[in-house]
Amino acid sequence: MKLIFNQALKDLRLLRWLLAAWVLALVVAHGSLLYTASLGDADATSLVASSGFHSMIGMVGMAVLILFAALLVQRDSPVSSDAFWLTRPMSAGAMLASKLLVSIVVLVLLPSALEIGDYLVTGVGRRWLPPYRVPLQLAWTLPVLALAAVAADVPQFVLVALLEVVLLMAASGLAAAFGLPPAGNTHFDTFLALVTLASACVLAWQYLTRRRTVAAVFLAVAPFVLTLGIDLWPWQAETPVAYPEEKRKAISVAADREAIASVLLGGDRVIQIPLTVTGKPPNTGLGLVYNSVHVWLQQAGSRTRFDIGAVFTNVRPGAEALEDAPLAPDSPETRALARVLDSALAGTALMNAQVTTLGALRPAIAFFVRRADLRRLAGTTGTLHLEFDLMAQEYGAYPGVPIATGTRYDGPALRATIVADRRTRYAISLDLRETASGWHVPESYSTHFLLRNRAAGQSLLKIAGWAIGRSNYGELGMILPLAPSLVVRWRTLGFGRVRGQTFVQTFASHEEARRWAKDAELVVIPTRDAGQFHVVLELPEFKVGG
Amino acid sequence: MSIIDIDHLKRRFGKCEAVNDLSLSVPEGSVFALLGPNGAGKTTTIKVMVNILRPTAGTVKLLGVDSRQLGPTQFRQIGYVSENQDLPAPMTVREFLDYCRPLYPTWDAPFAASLAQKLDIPLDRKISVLSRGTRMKAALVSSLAYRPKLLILDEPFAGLDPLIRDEFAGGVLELTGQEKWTVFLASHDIDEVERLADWIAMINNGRLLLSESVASLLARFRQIEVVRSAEGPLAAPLPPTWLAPEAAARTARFIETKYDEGSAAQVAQVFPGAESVTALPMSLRAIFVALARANRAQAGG
Repeated sequence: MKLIFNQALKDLRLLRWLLAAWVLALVVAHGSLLYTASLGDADATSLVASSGFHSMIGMVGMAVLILFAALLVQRDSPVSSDAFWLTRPMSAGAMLASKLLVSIVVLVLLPSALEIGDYLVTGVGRRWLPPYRVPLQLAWTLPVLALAAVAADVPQFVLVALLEVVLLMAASGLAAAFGLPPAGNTHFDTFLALVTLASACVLAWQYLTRRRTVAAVFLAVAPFVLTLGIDLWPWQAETPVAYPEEKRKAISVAADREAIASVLLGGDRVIQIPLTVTGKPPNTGLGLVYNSVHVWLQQAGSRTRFDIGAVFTNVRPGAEALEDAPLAPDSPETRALARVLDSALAGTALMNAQVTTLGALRPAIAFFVRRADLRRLAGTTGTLHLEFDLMAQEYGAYPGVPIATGTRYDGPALRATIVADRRTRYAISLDLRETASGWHVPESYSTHFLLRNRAAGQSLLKIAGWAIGRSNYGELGMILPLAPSLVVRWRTLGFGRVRGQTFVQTFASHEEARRWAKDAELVVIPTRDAGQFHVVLELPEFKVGG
Repeated sequence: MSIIDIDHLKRRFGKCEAVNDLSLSVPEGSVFALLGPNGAGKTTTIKVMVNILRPTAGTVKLLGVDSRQLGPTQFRQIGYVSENQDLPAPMTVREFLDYCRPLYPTWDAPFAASLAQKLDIPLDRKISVLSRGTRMKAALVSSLAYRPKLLILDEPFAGLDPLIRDEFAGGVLELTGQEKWTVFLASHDIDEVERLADWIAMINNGRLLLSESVASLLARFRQIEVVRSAEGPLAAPLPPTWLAPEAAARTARFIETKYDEGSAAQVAQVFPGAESVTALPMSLRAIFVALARANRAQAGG
């Protein structure tokens, strides 16, 4: 133990400047976070600026973490034949233990402890403490240590890290070719746990055996095993909760052949098939499960599969709140929106397409018929098969709150304050300052947002469950603690929070937007996944070519 | 008694045989030098000895323990200084020695301080700013302060100026004399080795050329010059112990590798009527060059 501490102290001494930079980044990040927390609700500009600064510091912190972890290993490399420790009375186990001690204390526990401090100082309370903090930080730190352990020097580490990223991308591409979703999205917990475990194994292997070939092969194979394996291995094939049969029987799903639209895009044809759903139980939304959608054309002796372009999962909670009204006033802009929909068929423009069907609120599946298939299938017909899962989401009462700065919302899955609202010709944007976010909400829950104008009989819908999910939060929060008590800036209206090209001209003028918003209220709908069921539709005599 | 036993050691890197069937023993208490040109396999041999590299075949035993099993117990008795060793550059020498101290129960702090003073090492200067020679001296202090039974030096003189080299060699000599340590030294600097070593092994292309005490080696090698009665080529076959035979006019020259009292009679038998025979002692350098050439000629067929 004495030797482990001696080694740890030596590492801290050697890396003291990086340690100072790391501590400084943490202090600045947490300082900015606490400063943001102390800002008044109305000070939206400062909140946004502070959030931006926090993100920037987060990136600096990430760079420092990577450098610190890499140099920590490189200073006593297990693969360099010139490493000093190899000929000193220091066992490989003790050296490994000292490296883990330093990295866990400095890179994992220190930021986690500071985050706990944030929760206490900001008054968010212990019950909101994220349980994933330490595992997440480990999942960032250990892979860097592992990659550094197979590299003989820093340039080699950079090369190995880049290679690993390329392999991960290749594995994701391969998964996509198999029609599998990226493992990191679908089974985030398992993915992180396996990455952490694999990294720990590589690190231990390298120090205990110093045989690089095995570790290198492992690192080359791991991205593929992790990415493909999680979805393919039987143990991971989670059986989703089935929607109760008696409720399912009442629901009828059909493809609306009359409303099928298609457009030619660069030689490919994109076909959109709207679905009609009837018999939904009250207070239930239905969403298409993207990964479950498969479309193919069955002809005598042959089957042609098609790539899925976009899935519009718009029979969602909140649909009832629309009171059968059109989603937006009829205007040149809303008619332009219909044209935008055509381009959306390519899956490039409208990512959050919940309102794109202008009141029809019907789910739709768009798929590509590639140029070669178009030629091959020209003049022929077959039976088009659509196979997909629908997820039922139940929700209770959804009280509305006025759209006004300072209005507080306190619900089971969200506690938030409206800190700013902007009404432009293009959209109504709200900045919500959260005191608790979906990060803490079990995965079977999500939060949906809606702007409702009862007087006009109109609503605008925005589904935001994923946006505050862990993936999005993780982009900011994995390295530097970012308590979810601070600002999450929502563009409640407008399509897509970040995709500038997808804005939609919702209102004819600023004045109309202001008028509409004046009588509108914010409706927050927490939902619970009630189960999913499988649907198979067949469209005989379907013609995809010509 | 041997402190190092190398038995049919082979080490291959891909298709390259860095060490090929090397066997030698290092007597305890000796200053043993492994001599060879650059790329001969000296550093590879040492790295296998201290378990930095694994042998492809054969075994190495240090202090009676297989090199692959060397652990902290053995490394507390082994000092290792290499020209390529990564020292913790951002540390001062004092911090570096403070870091090393807890690793060794037998660390003698006053001894370390006196060594540092004797070798003129600036304790409060960072290792990164030290000259190569001073860095080597700092590494030497960190490897001597616990009084190791075995000191291994890999190319300790490479790149050192004569003054530092003298200090370094003097320090090692003096201390090994006092402390009765065994020193295993790999170098291509034959002149320096000649001053230090009492036992020597020569290696070339991974193969051992010889291994014996310096005294015995210098005693058995002689440059022989014979003035013959008449000109002419050398008549084969010559004794197998003669290396590099050549003839110019009436003079014949060769290297006798087993010079003793019987050598004169053998020369007289090969060169009857020789007018004069001169046997000159050889330096280590000359012996090494002769052996390396003979080895190359043999390898070339």
